[in-house]
Amino acid sequence: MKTRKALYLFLLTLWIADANAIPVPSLDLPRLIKESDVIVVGSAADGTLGGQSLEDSPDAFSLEPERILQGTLPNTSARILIHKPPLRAGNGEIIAGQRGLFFLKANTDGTYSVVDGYYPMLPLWRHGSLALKDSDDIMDKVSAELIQVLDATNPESISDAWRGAVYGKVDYLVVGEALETIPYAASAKYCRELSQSKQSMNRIWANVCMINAGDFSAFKSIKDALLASSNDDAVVLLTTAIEGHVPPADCVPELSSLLRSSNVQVRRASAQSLREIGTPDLIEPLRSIALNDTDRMVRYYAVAGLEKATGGQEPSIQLFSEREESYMSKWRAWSVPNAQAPKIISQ
Amino acid sequence: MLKRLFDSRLFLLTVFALLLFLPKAAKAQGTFSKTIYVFQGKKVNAVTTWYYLNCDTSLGLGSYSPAVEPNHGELSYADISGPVPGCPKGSPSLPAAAAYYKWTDKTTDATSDYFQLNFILNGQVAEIIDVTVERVVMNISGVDTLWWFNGEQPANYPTQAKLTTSLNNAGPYTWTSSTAAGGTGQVVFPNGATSYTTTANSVVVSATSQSKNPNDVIVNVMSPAGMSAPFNMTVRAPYMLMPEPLERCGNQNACDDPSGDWGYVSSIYYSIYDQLGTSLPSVDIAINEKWDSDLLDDYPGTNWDRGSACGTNEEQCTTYPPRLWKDQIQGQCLYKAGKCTRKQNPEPLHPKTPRGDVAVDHWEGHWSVGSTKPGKGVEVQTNTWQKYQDHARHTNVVSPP
Repeated sequence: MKTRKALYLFLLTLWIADANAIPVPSLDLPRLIKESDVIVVGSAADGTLGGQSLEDSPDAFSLEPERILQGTLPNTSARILIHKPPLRAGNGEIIAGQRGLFFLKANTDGTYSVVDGYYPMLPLWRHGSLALKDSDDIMDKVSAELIQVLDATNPESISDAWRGAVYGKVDYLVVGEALETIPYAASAKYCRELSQSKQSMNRIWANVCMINAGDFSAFKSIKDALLASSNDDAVVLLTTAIEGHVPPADCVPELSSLLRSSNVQVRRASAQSLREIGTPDLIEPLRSIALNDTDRMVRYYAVAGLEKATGGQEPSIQLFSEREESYMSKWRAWSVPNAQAPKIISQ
Repeated sequence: MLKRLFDSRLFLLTVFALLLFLPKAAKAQGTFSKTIYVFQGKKVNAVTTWYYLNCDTSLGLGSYSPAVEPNHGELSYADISGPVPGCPKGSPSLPAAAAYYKWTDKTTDATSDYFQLNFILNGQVAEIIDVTVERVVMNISGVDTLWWFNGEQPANYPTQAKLTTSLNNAGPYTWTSSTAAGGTGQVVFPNGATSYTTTANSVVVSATSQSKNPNDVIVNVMSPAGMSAPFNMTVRAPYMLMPEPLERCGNQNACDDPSGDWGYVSSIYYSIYDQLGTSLPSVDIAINEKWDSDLLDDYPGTNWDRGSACGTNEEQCTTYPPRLWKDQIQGQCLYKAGKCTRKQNPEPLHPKTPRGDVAVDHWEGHWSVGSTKPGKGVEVQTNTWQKYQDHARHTNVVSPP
């Protein structure tokens, strides 16, 4: 025990000496699961263990287990001691009362260490409104726990102490990103169930999960919510998900409508998706709406999409920046094929 | 005399009329040019022409008349129907004239042919169509999109591709790569040049320069049996960092959280976009930061320090998600909390609302994508890391640099 403390204090002096400014590595939930001896749903307790203060172990905390998703604990109702490396970056700071999904490796002395110092745990709510299904599959179990977090109908999520007192708002992003790394076969049923919610924000979260797997089947149900959306975590993750996948052509009407969203990120994602779809029926929305957008990137996607849909050359951002006026003039003056004038066209 | 004058006036009128109408007649004739690639003996569609009022209404069928016959092949014609190019999905099929070409000459070494068609409407030439024919004996297949990271080769993003021709045992094969007019993309062969000869029917190409337009790289291969149809490629490259504003960050791309170790931890969110405006695929990519200046004090007598740039210490630098990744800036080791052995000047604070304006120190630097080593890869942003007593920000952001 003393050796371990000494080691952590030594590491502390190494890592904590200089303040870092570094990017945070990505979360890889399947790796976390694979490397964990024990995965515990529980709450970080105060700084005591068995009545003994942990004040001299600033990089340890005690955990009150509620249930175990993977592995075993000697005593499922007793607090356990968790070591974690000093905070370098990420979501590694643990505070008393924080409830979550903890990914742990067993030490030989009966204590545990977090598997990843950047992501020692993922936040969970105490109760969810979605029905959890019994499953032997750990991916399935973890998916079910995480989807509860995205179910904002849960009243406890509003008054959760951790959310209110410490961070102001929970970093839902980390949960959304975690679900993104889970194979869709495990998360699909929960995401689809959430997509049936009456709450528009829940449906947006469900679509984040689904679209990240290329599943646009529930996309039409969130059009109205996205038209007037803010930069909520869910919307931001949704726009990045949309940008990462080419929507099916039958989403063109919804994407065209979203070119009028008040949220520039939604407009960018819509214009970019229309560009990628590249079918002729997006010419008119790109010309009449996106081409006149106040945001330069939306105008760029409009021009690139128009060029693509008509067999032209999509410019790079740099080329567009150099010749924006020329492109804009060309497409504003462009005569649509539907114009009432005799025409000849060869191909 | 009058007769001469009359004749003269008539002559002038005739000339005037010719001047008036001839240009119009010429103007009425559009021209259309294209190149087709054909295999010997295989009939291909050379050109199709519609005459229409709008996407739903045809104005009738025209016909073709050869103005210049091909030397090595034969032409045939048919009336077909299909949606007018450029019309919305689901538009009806309208009648169109189609011309077909078949290379029939088996005695020649020629590799190209040419013919000209007049598209006739109501007995008048309405369009002149020039068709250049290139005879090919093989196609090229392979990955058509490569990545370029300024010489770096990060995992998950192919910077090389193996191209294969459809014609085997016909070597030697001479491969050439070129850049389309107005483009900038380039690939080279294993000898580092844009021309290379192989005995096998495959070759590896490496990207050396990013595209300005999609498909601006052209690869061809020639063998004693003949040439290939051109193979177009696109070379993508990281181009810029796009800030990602979040509601929880007050619609900015930077959030500040209190820290028991550092006073505060500020997170600054970005996504990486390529030069064609697409966010990089959702597979992790190496990113690095490089400090371009010393740590410069803003707060008199401050003793705040600065960690190494990501990548200076390999343990601290890895690959990151291209979308919504965050740079995280710690305040300074908290003396009050007993986390470090010296008193800080000034002592870092938890984020205040509104944020404080006590600047402590700053430094210049830039971000590159494609390597974990500082400064390697494609530079995508320059900025200042500005630390305040209760938060930190990127300032003076220039992206692309």
